[in-house]
Amino acid sequence: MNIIVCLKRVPDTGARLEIEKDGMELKPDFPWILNPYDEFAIEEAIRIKERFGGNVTLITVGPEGGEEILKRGVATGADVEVYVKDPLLQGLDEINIAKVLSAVISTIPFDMILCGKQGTDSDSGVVGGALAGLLDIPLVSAVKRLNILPEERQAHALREVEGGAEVVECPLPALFTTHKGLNELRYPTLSGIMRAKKQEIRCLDLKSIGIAANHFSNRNFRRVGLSYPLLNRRGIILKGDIKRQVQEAVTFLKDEVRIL
Amino acid sequence: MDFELTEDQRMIREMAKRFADEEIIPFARENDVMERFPIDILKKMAPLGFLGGPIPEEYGGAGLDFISDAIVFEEIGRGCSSVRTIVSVQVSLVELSILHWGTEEQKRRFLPLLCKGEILGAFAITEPEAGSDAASIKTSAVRKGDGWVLNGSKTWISTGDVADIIVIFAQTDPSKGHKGITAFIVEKGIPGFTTREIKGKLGLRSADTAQLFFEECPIPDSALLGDVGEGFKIAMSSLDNGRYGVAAGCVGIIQGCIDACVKYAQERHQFGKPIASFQLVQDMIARMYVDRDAARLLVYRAGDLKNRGIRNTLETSIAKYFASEAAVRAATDAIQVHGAYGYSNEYPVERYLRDAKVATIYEGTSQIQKLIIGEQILGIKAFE
Repeated sequence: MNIIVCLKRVPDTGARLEIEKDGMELKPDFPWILNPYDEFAIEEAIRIKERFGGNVTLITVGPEGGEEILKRGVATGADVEVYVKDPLLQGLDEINIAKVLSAVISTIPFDMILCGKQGTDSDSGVVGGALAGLLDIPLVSAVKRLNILPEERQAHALREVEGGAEVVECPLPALFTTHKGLNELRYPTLSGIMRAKKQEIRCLDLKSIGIAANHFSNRNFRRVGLSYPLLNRRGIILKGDIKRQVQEAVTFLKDEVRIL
Repeated sequence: MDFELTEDQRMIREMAKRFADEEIIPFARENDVMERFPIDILKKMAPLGFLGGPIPEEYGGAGLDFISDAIVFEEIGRGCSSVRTIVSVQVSLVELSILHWGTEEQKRRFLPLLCKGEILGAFAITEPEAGSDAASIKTSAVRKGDGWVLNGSKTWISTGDVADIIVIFAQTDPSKGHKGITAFIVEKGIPGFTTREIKGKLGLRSADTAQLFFEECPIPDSALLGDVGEGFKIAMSSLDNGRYGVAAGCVGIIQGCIDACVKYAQERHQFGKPIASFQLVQDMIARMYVDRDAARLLVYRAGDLKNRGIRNTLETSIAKYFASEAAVRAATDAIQVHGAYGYSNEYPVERYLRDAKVATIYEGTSQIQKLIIGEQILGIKAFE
């Protein structure tokens, strides 16, 4: 099985993000991480490779910083790293990102593509679906269990739907977007990290994959501003004896904020 | 001079930190209370490469540089000093000694097994009457036929009771003093070799410490590590590696103290506000923070020399002396920050203190480190 995994670099989910005065960009002093949903994609790809053989190719696109997330994938067992690095990719919308990925992937033989179900930064969840559409292959989104039948060239997947789960089957090649719970992440090994250090990244720019500089002149959308989330804080004072206060607190957590 | 870690070193810290948080820390307290050898943790560490960090890949290791090696020890030490001690002995004392002084056959035979954790190693210099004065060891190895016969005893040997192989130092020519000391690789199971576990230690309670007894033990000539009479040199150079791991592990203890204190001081309220807002509490935590940075930078300096193959006895002694004393200071203050709660094993800080103390004693006491440093400053040896 030749598996392609698409990766995205996102701001660390634990980082405190600040917006520049112009209201358009984030202040650059925050740490970046590999999109957490993509980690499940890498892990699943490596498990499939270990079971059926083949290789795992990691691809990321962006103006900078992709090397770090690719190396993390190789340290856990991926084979090839491809980085489309070009300043023109700065702030590019999801549909156009999918077009860039499609241009690279069309040149690589593959049996399946795995992507995180969404990036934890924009939460749009568009790239995987758009990429499947552009490549004209089946898309199964938010997969929580995946069973590959290489001889039948088929996959069975379980995905979360409102109030339950749905089991689907599809022919390969296909694209699957991965959800939390699909697998348990392994630790990279020390020798894997050293191997990643030595391995060379296949670096491409837009020109080398046949995309001209003016290709994105007609972008699907552009950002016109960023703002902080609206704070909706309110205090609640629990009344009565301690038993009643506990009951009230549990009811509130269960029915209003729904975390119990 | 570059103070930034490289990308792979950052990845190694991230991986080792995650492992310590998920696989070591949750079991550290119980293992300590039960005095239980952490074999389950070691079994998880081995396939990830923790038991062969700086050993070249051709011998089954990960081929780490020494800064990465320190990062690994720091994170393991933050989790549990007993585990860190076992790994230090395995990697820094046994594997690096075999790598530097062993024959090609010994390297091929032992290193892959040690790196995979299929066998455990121990390193035995100390004797009941020879601690800081390592040159005065009495255990003897006498030529007999094609091999040697070993007699004597060792004590305070980490991993001694469970080890499969032991790098042991014995006197082969008493007339030559320390130049008559020779190193051997002794395998468990040879006739006349017995061990006895030492219980009731203040700290490192889940690490194994033992006495070793050799009575007319026959060992083959192929067990020689290095040349006859080279043992003291091997011991001292191996201790440069061992002390490095101890120092890095102590940086981890200090970090553990900082983490525990920051959390507790922000949660604990007295006089209507978090104790973190009190100047005297901030003073203790600030000192820990400074000590951590200073200790870490001293470790990295020694590591940089090791990476470049430059002699680092002085720099490693400075790092080990400072880091171990700073770890004791940090753990003492960490208990103080926690008040009465810090005095119970409900919080990890009392374990940090008990574990830190041994680092000022083993692999050369703080006093011996200062004499090594003093000799460099004054040009006069305080001991032979």
